[in-house]
Amino acid sequence: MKMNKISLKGRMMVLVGIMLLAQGLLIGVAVQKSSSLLTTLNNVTGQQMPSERILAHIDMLHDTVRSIVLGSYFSDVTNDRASLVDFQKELVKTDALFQDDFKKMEVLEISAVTKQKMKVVNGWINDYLASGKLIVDNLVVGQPKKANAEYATFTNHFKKLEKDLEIFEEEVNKDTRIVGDQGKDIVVYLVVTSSVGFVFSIFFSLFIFNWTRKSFEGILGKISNTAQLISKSTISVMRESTKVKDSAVEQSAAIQESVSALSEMSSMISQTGQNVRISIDTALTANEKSADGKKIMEHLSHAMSSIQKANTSLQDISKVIDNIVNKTTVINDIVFKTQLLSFNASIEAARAGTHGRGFAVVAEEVGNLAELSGAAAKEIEQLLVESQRRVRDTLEVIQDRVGDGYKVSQNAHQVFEEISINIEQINGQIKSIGEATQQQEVGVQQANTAMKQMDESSQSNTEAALVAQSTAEQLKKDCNTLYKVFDELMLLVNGHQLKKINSRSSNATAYSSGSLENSNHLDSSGEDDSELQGLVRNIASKQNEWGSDDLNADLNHAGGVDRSHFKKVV
Amino acid sequence: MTESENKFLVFSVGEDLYASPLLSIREVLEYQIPKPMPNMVHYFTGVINVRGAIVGVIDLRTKFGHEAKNWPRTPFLLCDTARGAIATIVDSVDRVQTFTEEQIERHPPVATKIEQNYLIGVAKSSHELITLVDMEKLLNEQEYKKVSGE
Repeated sequence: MKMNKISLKGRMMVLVGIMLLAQGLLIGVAVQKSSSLLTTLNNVTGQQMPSERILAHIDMLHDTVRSIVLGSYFSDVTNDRASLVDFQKELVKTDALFQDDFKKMEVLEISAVTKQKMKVVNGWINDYLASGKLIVDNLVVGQPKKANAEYATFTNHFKKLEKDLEIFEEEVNKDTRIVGDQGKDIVVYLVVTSSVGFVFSIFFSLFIFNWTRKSFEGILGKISNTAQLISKSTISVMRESTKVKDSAVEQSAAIQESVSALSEMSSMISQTGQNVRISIDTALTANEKSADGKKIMEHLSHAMSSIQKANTSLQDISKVIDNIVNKTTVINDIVFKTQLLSFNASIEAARAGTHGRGFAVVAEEVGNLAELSGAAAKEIEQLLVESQRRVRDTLEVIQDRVGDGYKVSQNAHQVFEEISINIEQINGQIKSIGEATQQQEVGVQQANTAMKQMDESSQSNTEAALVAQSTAEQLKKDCNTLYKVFDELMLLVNGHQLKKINSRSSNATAYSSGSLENSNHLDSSGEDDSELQGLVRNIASKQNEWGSDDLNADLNHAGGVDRSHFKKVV
Repeated sequence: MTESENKFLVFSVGEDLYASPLLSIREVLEYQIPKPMPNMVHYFTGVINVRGAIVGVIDLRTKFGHEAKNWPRTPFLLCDTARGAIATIVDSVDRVQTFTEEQIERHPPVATKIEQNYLIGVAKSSHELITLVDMEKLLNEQEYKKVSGE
């Protein structure tokens, strides 16, 4: 593919150069040949033609000599002396003419063989003339017998002269023929070289043309690829730019929302600031209240202590009751013993019989009293026990309550303490919240500014996206134009390329749809084809992508073309 | 039967009310801790000193099949028997009551915890039945031997 590296200009230069060289060679050879032909022609016109003419003259002259001789015989017969003398004179003239011709012949640049032949002819003519002169002289002198004797020699000479003249003529004609042959050779040579040159030119031109065409097709394929890529890129750019636009619009909206949210936030923060100040006041109040509570709790503790003391008195009461209960047991003892006494008295009274009757009554009464005392004592005991129980219960309750109260008041005290500490912490935290809020306010203001800048940049983004979109659309149009240019170029390069591509594209579509046979076929169609196939595929895919209805229709139409046709086209 | 003979000392052992003829009882004594004696029957708790005389003590509660329990005011009934005085522990002494002969059912057709030889009968009080026990016959000969050690 080193050839492909050579530029078109270079190729054309090479083509033209080689053609010019061939032409030059052709012309040079032709000129050379023509000059030699011209020389030969010069020779022919300058040398051969006069020699021919002289030869003809000689031919005519020797017939004239013969006619003079025959005329002399006729004059002799008719006895016309005057004519005989005229013939004699004429013969001399003819001899002079002969010599003149030969002299002319001497001057001409003719071949040595011709010259030799000419000398032979010259010799024979001299002999012939001599015998003719002798005949005429004898007739003039009036001796016909001598003349007749000489006539046989004359005829003999004439015959010989005729023969050698023919040979001479032959020689001269040979030279002329050589010239003609030379001319013929030149013509044949010119025809052959012209034909060869023509055929070579055609083949070389075809070769250069094909070479260039392939290069063109390769480049065009690349262009097509690139255009396709650009198309894709353009589409993606369009898509992306649309997305960018949309997202920029969304962003803008979001920023607007953010700005409003920020302003709300700002107002909230200032509200928070106010709340913080209120909170600080509240916290201070709470602190005071908690201190009051602490004091109250201390009072409560004191009150609890006094209740505790009162409880101790109640315990004393319980002890007193216990003592009373103990005393009642003494009473009970007394009652018991009295009862026993009454029983014993009854027994004694019974033993006393009738005398003891009154005593028995007394004993009974004592017993009754004792029983009453016992009952009273029991009641008292019960009451005391009840009192004791109640006092104990009360004591327990009070103790529990006081203990609880004490604990509670202690806890409350502690809690108030903790509350106080917490409130102080809260106070500190609220103060830090206040500071933070102030910082936040500043931050929000900064954010607001940033948001405004962002809004501006987003608007410019939107504009840029729109510009990008329109650019992409323009690019798409340009791409289409590029495809048209490509088609035109293909048309320009191949003439029938479009048809070819269509018929091919059907196969390419079939190929792209995964026909194994087609792929095999395409593989077998050779390296030269692969570039074209790539091209065709690209075009097919391009058509698919751009969805050109017309092209698709063409494609469908071309889809009917079978592979054999495709092969033919290939 | 004289009026005195109809007088009974009513006492309680456990939940039950008992009564003995008033003349069979010499004295009602305060509780005192009996001195236990070895190898005696289970209801013989020991001996006490009654104004210089040593008297054996029988726990009626145990003898009548009740649970034994002592408390400070448990009275002792000092009874006269043919073989001499004997102290019996009862839960409480209730009253002295006179039963008419109509009130007394001498042969009640009931099985009691008390052996028939010292059971006098059952007296019908206003709202309760009282078992009449003859303290003199409280211990039979064999028992008395065991108690007195004769």
